[in-house]
Order: sequence, then C-alpha cells, then structure tokens
Amino acid sequence: MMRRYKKPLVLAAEFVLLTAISLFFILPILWIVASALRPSGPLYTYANPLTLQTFFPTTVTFDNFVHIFKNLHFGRALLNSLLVAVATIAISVLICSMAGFGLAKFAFRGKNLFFFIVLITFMVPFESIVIPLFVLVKRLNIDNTYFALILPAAGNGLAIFLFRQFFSEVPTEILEAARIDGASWIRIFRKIILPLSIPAIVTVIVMVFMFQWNSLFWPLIATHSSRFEVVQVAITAHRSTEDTSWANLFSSAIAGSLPPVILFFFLQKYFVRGISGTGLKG
Amino acid sequence: MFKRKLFHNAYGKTLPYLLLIPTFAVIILFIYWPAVSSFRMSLYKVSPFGNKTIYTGLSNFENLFKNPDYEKSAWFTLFYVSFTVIATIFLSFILALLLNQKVPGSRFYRTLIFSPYAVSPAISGTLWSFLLNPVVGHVNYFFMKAFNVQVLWLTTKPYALYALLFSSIWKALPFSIIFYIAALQNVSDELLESATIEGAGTLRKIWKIQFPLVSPITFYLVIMNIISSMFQSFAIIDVMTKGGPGGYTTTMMYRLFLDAFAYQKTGPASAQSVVMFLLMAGVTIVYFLFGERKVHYA
Repeated sequence: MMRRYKKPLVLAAEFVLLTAISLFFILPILWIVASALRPSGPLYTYANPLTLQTFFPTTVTFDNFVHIFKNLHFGRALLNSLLVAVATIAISVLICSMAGFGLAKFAFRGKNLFFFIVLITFMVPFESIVIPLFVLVKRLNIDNTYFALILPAAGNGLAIFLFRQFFSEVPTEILEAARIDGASWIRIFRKIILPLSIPAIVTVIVMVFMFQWNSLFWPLIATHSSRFEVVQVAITAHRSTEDTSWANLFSSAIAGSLPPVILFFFLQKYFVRGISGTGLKG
Repeated sequence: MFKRKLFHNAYGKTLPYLLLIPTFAVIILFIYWPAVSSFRMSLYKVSPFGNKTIYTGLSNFENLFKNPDYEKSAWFTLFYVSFTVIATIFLSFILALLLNQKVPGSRFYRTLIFSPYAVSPAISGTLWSFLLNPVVGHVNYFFMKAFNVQVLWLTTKPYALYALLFSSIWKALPFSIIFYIAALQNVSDELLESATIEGAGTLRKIWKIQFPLVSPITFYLVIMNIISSMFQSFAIIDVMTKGGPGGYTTTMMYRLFLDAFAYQKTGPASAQSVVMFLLMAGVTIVYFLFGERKVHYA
C-alpha cells in the first residue's frame, strides 16, 4: 500500500488547531484545579487580569482538600456515592442483560410490546415523575435509605436497549450448538453471552456510574440525613446565595470528578468498542 | 434487509418471560407507576392548602395552551434543543475527524478534550457562570481587552441565550466526539485510499464516504443529544440563568420544574409532563422509523 506522508506545513497547522481546540476544553477545568490548589481566600483576587497565574497557582497548597475531608466529611459523601453507584451497577447489569437477552434471542408473544415498554422509558422526563415517585418511596418505607437512591435507577431502559442490540449480533447458531450439547440456559448466558459482551457491559457500567455519580436532584429529595449525603449534594451545598465558599466548592468539585476520570481512563478502550459493536455500526 | 434468526417457543414458553420479569418489575414500579399517577393528576385541580383534589377534565391542558408564557418556552425549547443538537453533531464530527488524523500525540489531545465529560452538569454550570461573570469573569476580561465591551452574559437578552448554548455545547461535545472517533476508526483505510487514487478530494471523501458510514452513530447521537438537551440541561439552566432574564431562557423542562417545585402547582405541572412525554414520544418514534431505514441503506 502506498502511504502518503503529510507535508510539514499541514502537520504544523493540525498541531496548532488541535492545541487551540484542546485549550478550549481544558482551560476552564485547569482553572478549577488552580483555584482548588490556591490558599483559600477571596477568589476574585486572582480573577483579573488574565495571566498565566490564573491557570497555574504561584503558591500551591492542599489545605482546601485537607479541610473538606477532615472537617466537612467529604470522604463520607464519596463513599456514599461509590456504594450507591456500585450497587446500582451490579443490579442493573444483571437484570438489564437478562432482559436484553430475552428481547434479542427469543420469539415470544408480546415481544414488540415489551420492547416498546422499554423504549418508552427513555421518554419519561424524570422531573415529571419525581413527586409521585417520592410518594411511592415513602409508602414503601425506604425514603432516606440507600435503597431509595439505588432501586429507582436499577431498571435502565437504555441499558436494556444496548444489551439487546449487542446480543442480537451473537450468532444464534453458537447458542443452538451449546443447547444441543446439553448446556443449561444459565450456563450459556454465563459462559457464552457474557464473555462475548464485555464491551457492552463496560458501556453500561460507565453509563450507570455517570448517571448515579452526577445525580443531584433525586438524592436531594429522597434523602435528608447527612448519613446518606452523596457527592453532588455535598459539592453544591458549598454554593449558597449569600456565602459561597469557592475554595470548598472547587476542591470538592475536583475530588468529586476524580473517580469518573479514573474509571473512564481505564475503561475508555472497551467503552468505545462497546458502542461501535452495538449493531449500530455501519 | 435481513431477518434475524431467533429461538422459537421450542425452548420453553416461560423462559423469555422469566428473563424479563426482574427489570420490568423495577421499571413498572419506579417509572410507569409514578408516570401514570402523574398523568392522572393532570386531570385534577389540587387546592393550594390541604389535600382537596377536584376533577377538572382537560382544563389544565386548555389553560396551558392558552398561556402565552408556555408558548414562548415551547419556542425557546425548540430553538435551544435544535441549535444545541445540530451544533454538537456538526462540531463533534469535525473534531473527531481532526483527532482521528495520524498526528503524533493525538492520544494526549484526545484525553484533554474528553475532560469536560467528567465534570457534572451542576459543576460546569457553576464554572461557566463564574467565567462569564461581568465584573471578574475571565471571558469578560478577554472581551474588554479585545473589543472594549462589557457584556452582561447571564442577565441580558440575547446574551443569556448565547451563554447557555455555549456552555451546553461545551459540556455535550466530548461525549459525541468519543463516539465519532470510535466510528471513524471502523472506516477502512483501503476504502479511503482507493478513493484518493481515483482522485476524490478530502471534502468529497468526508462527505461521500466517512459521513454516510458513521450515520448509525449519528442516529444514536442525535437521539442521545435531544434527550440530554431536553432533560439534563435543567441543571445548567438552574445554575446559570434560573430561566431569566424575565423568563427568556425558560425551557419547557425548567418551567415544569418551577411549577412543580417552586410554585407547587401540581395539576398544571402534571399537564406539562404529559405534553413533554408526548413530544418526546413523537420525536423518538419518528426518528426510529426514519432512522431504521437510513441505517440499513447507509
């Protein structure tokens, strides 16, 4: 194959363009990081003029982080969110993959109706069901518990949809052969379907994790004791009309964004493959 | 078109249903049940004090459609959603093309560009409301130096809209870029090289080969972006403009939130949920019908 090398001028232009674009995305974030690492005080001191120091603090201190973990129990919020996210992931990967398998590989009465019921859930705005949902959660006696945060998010229509698309690509012949060899359905599901679907599972893990990690509105309504305070609630609590503590706000925002960054860094490869392998590929 | 091979009932009539039961139990209990009771409430009037509810038929809907404020927020939503979605799709495709180039260090650039994805909507709203602050914000400092103007980004027309669009797109781009890069990597190099040999220019290759081949991803991203700009933009609006100035940036979703939680108007809020739901159902159904066809012939 003939490979054409790029002209140096084109290459340089691409570098400049890429750098400009990356700056557009990263500068605001760099600014949060810099603000979190500055000694706490009026943030406005560092606001103008716009210099390099805006993005790289002259005195670096971790006092703000120490403060939010030691005195404001931010660690507790991190653990709460982690617990809620992991539990939701465990439940929804299990039950949504089962449903996706059923919808992808079987012919049965009412199948289209069931699939339609799944699709409808994409279209229900959460804000519109939140009041009756709270009434329900209260009646089930699980308000102000972890269950209230976990269970409503466990049945995820998008996850079912992704699993269904992915499982449809697995040749039915393989499963038939395994059936003939006497493998049970549970065995087929565990030994054939799930291993082949790692990218789909990872995609769902990232999706559910981000959903639960970013959720703010529902935790505010469903829980009220600080024992169950989740990350976003803890972060936005520093933001009040009269007295916003910017140092606390930004340091908790940074600490609260690290878990998604770490997760994403490790799973990026699978995540991307999961989407391009969902039967949506061209 | 092809027909997918499926298991028929030879494998037991109950198994597929057993597989569906757990998820559907959760979905029906925690999504459908509240949705139905919310829909039911749209036909009632709830007295502001106490728990008296009176059946009023469709009058909540009639009042809603007669309300010029609601009409305004509907038009605003249409503009906000279509602009955000089209701009996000267009820009993310172009940026993905750039990031897909074999430039040394493109992995590094990719990581930088993904970073807003890790920040929650509430935080990115806070961040931008600070950067756009008319007195101390960095964006305004830049505008002062470059054009000698001071813009009240969050509190005046039409700048509040620009600010909102800008930060929404900034937040939405990384997600779409990730997907486009993955899709572009699946487009075979041989195809592009043979097109080059036959004399196709860069633009022609992008438009005639790469864009059609990633159309399934475009389809997926359009749906995801419509959903997120309809629903999730709520956090950004709440933090940045509170729907202002004077209701100018109030989307249908934000109005629903205000009526339900700030003003406690349960009946009208429920009627708005029904409208939102029907709207979303319409969009999704039309797109599925249209999209399915598009995907197969792409």
